[in-house]
Amino acid sequence: MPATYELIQTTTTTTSSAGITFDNISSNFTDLRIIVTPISVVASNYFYLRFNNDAFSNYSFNEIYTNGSGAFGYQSGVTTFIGVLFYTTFGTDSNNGYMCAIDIFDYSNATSYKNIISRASAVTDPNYPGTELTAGGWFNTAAITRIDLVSASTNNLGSGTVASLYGIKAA
Amino acid sequence: MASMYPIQNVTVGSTASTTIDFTSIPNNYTDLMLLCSLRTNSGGASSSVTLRFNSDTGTNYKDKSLYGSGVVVFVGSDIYGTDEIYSGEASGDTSLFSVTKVYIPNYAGNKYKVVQIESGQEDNQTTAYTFLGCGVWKNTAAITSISFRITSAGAGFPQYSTATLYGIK
Repeated sequence: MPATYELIQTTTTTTSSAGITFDNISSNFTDLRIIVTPISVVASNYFYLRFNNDAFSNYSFNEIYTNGSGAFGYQSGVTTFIGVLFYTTFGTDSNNGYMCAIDIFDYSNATSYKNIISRASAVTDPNYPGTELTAGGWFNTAAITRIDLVSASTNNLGSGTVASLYGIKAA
Repeated sequence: MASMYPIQNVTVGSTASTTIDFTSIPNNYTDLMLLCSLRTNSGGASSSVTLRFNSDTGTNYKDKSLYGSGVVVFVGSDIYGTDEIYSGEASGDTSLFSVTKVYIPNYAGNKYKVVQIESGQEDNQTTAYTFLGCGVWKNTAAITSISFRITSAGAGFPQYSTATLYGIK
């Protein structure tokens, strides 16, 4: 039986860094999934998610989230990234109480814009922000061949961050 | 190489069960994912479901949840206390099951264990829920067992409620 859920690349950071890059992504799959358990050098960090090294105003995202006390929504408008772990944020807890799962659909088609959904959670003690669901778009019809998870706090992605990129194949 | 493997399946038999349990979980995967199809025999529209690891009933858990009935949005922290993680609702409809997905990264690592949960039910009743949740088990041990519990007093998961545990490499 052919593989339908396949690990493409995994990275564990050993020093503080600007972020994590998955490059030279093949077009062999239908969809992509990223699982990341980050740690930050500073409090309240988040990721800029970008594709194909595009840092121009070709993205937007919206989300719902809770901090356990209220329900909130956000719409970014056109911007230069998709924010993930954006309102829940990730911090310096060495026990890594943070995670994010990003699904990127139909990433290699060359005719339509690309859409993602992201589920992020930060549940540490005492820092205890909450959970969020994000929908994002990249307004470009190119196949995605590179994904960057950029630390919003420059060069402050911490050592011990683990990120894995999976490919999902249709039947 | 395939990297998602079924580890165990539990399907409730003719006698309803108050828990659904996975034991002796091997440590040779990176992450775990649970896909569940759940009902309750409480007689109500639904019953809340909670999650524990390694039979730990201490106050070592925290959770946050955001859920809606289609009419009202609710939020909460530690709704069922800090000795378990709120994990969505089991359907009370006699013929429809709720669906629940639980993802646990780095379950065998030496950090606290984070859990992300999505759950939903649509029973064509006045009360049905869509649920987003997250939790943490403040323990650095590898997860070797997982237990779902139904919170309604005297209720259980009736026949054909099912959960499958997958390992991801």
